[in-house]
Amino acid sequence: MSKKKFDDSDSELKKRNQRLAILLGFIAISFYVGFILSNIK
Amino acid sequence: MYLVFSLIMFFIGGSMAMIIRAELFQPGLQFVDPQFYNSMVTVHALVMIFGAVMPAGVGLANWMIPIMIGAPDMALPRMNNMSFWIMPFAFALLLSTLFMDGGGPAGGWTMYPPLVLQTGKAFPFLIFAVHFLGISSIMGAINIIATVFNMRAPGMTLMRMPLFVWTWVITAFLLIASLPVLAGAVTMLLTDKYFGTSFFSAAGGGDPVLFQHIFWFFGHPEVYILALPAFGIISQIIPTFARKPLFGYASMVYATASIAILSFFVWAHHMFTVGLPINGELFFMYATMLIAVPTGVKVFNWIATMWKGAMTFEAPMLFALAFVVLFTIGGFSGLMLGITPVDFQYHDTYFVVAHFHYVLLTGAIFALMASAYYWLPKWTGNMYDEKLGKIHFWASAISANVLFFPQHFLGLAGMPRRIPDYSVQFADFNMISSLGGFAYGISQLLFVYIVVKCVLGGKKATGQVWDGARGLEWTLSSPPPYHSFSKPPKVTKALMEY
Repeated sequence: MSKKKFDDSDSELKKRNQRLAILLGFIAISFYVGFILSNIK
Repeated sequence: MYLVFSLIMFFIGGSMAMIIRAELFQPGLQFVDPQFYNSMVTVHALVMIFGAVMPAGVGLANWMIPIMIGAPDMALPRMNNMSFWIMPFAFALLLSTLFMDGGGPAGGWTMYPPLVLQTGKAFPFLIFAVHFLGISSIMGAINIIATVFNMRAPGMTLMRMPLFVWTWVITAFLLIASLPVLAGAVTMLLTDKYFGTSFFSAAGGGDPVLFQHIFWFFGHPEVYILALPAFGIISQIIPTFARKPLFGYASMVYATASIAILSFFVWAHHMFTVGLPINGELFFMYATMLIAVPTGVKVFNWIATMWKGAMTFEAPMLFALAFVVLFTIGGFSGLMLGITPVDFQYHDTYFVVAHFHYVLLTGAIFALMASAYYWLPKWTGNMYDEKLGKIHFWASAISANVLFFPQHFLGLAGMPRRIPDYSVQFADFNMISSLGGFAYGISQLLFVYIVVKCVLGGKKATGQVWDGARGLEWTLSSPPPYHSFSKPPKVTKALMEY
């Protein structure tokens, strides 16, 4: 999605960035933990 | 900061390469003991991959992506800051091991158990450094994805984005998918060594080959993490100096995505000799051959872009052309290594060393050099010294080939890698290779001089800089303002085309 207007204090944009960052971070951490757990016998 | 850090690391890793080439200048043990030699081989690889090439790519992404997509800055500046400052800390950990009792890690950058578990005090430092570097890279990747997905200017549709941005988005997803696997593997190494687990210990019911599978499941995508941004850089430079639009833009995007996806299905071609089932070897051989198709599409498109173009040969274009030729040589030797029965002869020989240095030095690093010359006037507001740039190019291109081309012959003749001494039959080619290495090392000092000279002054650059350049970054002044597009630009199709 492209943004119509930028503003340093654009809280909606900040929230969207943070939500995406948390989602991607969660994916990375779940790969890490899931991968180790899947190798435990 | 990323770029300065990566340049420092390039010289630290390079000085280790000089030690390696000095030792290999003639047969016998001359300067260093074998343990230290192996540490140099290991740490050179880690420093160059994680300290020089990856941070340089992230640095270019940080600087160029916002101004290429019409954003004021990166999406998550605090995370960016953390991502950067982790790196000097991680490398301080890694490099400090060279001064410890027992020396630095010496089991190769691949950290295969059980050999790596024999590492002395350096072991936990190595493991934590790798973890930190992984965290840093993942944070950088998240920032790039958030910036591209949320901060594009109106009209900057995905299929209008410059190829450099596309290659970086795809690389960022590769990083997020592959680095947790490496982190998991090295965590398991740590628990095997200190907490009594047996993930990779045959004595406890584990399997050392499992580590190789896991490592290369990360390791092969890692090759493309280093190479894809280089493809993006070349795709920016060639149209500029051919004064033609990039041939087959959409096919370039799909080829990049195909390479990224395929890179997760070829890992075992690094381990044909461990005794895989024949069907497995055939699968990985054919999958490896398949990667040549999208890569071939890219090389074809770059050549087609130049076809009948009004080309000029400034330093960035020279490095880009050398990239196309030399990366293709590295690609072809990679194809040879991907053929299972052939790999049984070449495995762990200098042929492999020649192959990956063609891909990473004359590939990734030449692309980074090309990008530095291409964007230096934009960054500094000053033109670099073109004559010196060309001298730097020819010195680098000739010496890099003198350095690595003979290594193909050494490998074919059976010289193993990662050894400080060798049979006298390999003496001549090693001497030539070392001379090339010293010449390459010295010629890079010229690059530092050119960069410093350009930063300090020189002929003023216009906003456009290169008359054939297209894209948003060239609509800004040189150097661009601190916050580039605080009012989003209107991106039209015409702005991006010729």
